[in-house]
Amino acid sequence: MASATLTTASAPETLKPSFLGVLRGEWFKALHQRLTWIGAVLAYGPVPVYLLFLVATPSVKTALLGSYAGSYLNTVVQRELTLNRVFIGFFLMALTVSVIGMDYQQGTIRIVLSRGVGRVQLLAAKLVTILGLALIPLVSYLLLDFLLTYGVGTAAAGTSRVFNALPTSFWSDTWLYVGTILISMVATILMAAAATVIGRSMQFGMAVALLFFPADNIGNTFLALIAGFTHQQFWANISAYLLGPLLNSLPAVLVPLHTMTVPTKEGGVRTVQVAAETLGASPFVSYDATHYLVMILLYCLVFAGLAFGLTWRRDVLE
Amino acid sequence: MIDMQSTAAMPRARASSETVLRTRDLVKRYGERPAVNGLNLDVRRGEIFGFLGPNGAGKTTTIRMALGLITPTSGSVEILGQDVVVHRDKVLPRVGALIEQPALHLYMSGRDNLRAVGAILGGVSNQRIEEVLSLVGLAARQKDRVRTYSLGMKQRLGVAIALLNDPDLLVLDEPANGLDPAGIVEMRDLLRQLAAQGKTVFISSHVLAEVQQICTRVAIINLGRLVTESTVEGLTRGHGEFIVRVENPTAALAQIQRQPWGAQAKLDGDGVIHTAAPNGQGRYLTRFLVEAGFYPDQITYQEESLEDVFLRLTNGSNGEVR
Repeated sequence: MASATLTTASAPETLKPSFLGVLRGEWFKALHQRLTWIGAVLAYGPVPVYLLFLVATPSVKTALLGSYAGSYLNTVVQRELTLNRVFIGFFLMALTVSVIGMDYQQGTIRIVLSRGVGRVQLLAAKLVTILGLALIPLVSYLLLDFLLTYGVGTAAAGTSRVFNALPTSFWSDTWLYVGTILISMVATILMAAAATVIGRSMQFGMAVALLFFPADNIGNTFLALIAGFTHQQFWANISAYLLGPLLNSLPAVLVPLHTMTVPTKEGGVRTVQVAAETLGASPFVSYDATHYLVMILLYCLVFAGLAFGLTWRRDVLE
Repeated sequence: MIDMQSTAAMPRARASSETVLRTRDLVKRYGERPAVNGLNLDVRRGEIFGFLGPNGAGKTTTIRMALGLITPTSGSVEILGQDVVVHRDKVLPRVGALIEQPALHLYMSGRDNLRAVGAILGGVSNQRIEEVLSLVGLAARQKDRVRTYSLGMKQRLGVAIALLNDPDLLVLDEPANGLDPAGIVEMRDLLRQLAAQGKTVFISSHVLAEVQQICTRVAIINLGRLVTESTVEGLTRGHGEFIVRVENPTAALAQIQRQPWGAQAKLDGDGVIHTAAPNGQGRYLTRFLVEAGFYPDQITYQEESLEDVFLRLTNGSNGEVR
């Protein structure tokens, strides 16, 4: 410190933090975290593994050159999107817990708040940052999905003309599917945000976030068992109110059924109506898309209410 | 531009009558327990104000209320004439703070920590970042990750962050933490320099000798209540004691203790008497001893240090105010 000079020439005029400024600061911090980059790359890992597995399957060429190539490719893309949905969820849990929890854990939240930034304003900026950061991998994943599928399909079939067989509803169905991924992403971010704000620590936030979906997926199975033992439909009905199963099955209720041509044992083909690809536990009772969307919205509102309410009410003791 | 080398000759502060930080009947309760209990403080522009108290006295709680981190149960905190709770977005950008340990992003470099705060504040130039880094002596290590910094370096970076927006009020909680002796001297010079520029510095510290050297006024709190608020000179003046060396200290002490002014006199482990004097005057003490048949080898007056005042007012920091 000894040789320094102090001048007010370069000192800023009275500053006032704006929402955009807070957003800029949060963005800056998140991009400087290795976790952001490593997590985004790792979350895409299962898709190339799936495609490698596909290429190694002897029947793939037959499927691509057969009369049901379009349906087959449609399914491949939807499976990739399902993997994207599940694994981007893990990435978003880690990112949300890190962006919100690290400030609590390292006490850096007081640097920001003691400069006049509001607690709710800061949380809102963090959530917008997380959503923005989540969209970058999602768009990248979609581009990679299409490029890899195109490359693998062309290589396996020996021609890119196999893609001409894609059903006419392919793009509209795909965008609807992407919409369900976005809904799932928002619900995951808000759930992880609520968990982190409640515990005000990264460990608590991560533990709750990681346990939440496995818990209600497993809980779904228990409900089925209880319903079986008690012969009471009530228990099975509860499964339609659990967030995990609702998000898992959302593509199947939002994306229209598509007609798929499948080979028969006799060597012929037949057409069937197929729902979109899903992964994980599903509700045991049928409801329409409105029920799904309303229930997911309610969950999101509860999570957001918890996160913002507690942030607004509680003193910062870190 | 002010050269730091010349700050030794600088006046301690240019305090004005403008109140920069004011608390009125400030209360913070956690359940039934009051952490801060009816605190009234006035910190004026250009002061280096020391805020002292034993552990758990309510210092950090007060600072957190002043910075809008926790909400008072009742009472008010005003900075630059505006209520912090109501106008936090207007007043807090004019404050720089370092609370307890420096809170830093360990995965980023020192420079990037400043850039992150600068991005939030907006309008912080690269030149300003360079300047505060030089000011705290971190220019050479600015690109290294904070994780590799020593405690003292982290403390300096915390101060740099606090100074980034050229604040009117600088709130520092234990600023000398982790600093080596040279760093402490530099920090002291820096704070004097800031005060000379009209900045107000509010320091909470356990290093009372440091506070005594640098602060113009101090407040001592205990159990959430203000015990005293005064200039350092005002606190220490008139509370000194006489140190007496005589041949037969035990007998001399007994004589002294019989006098109304000497009831508190005591003998230390070195056989030296610590006592007050008749009318507070050394010459009357000398006359008394000679008339009593004790010819002193040495009588010296020792002014009370801030540490003595602190211990006296907080009853040795055990939580009981005398």
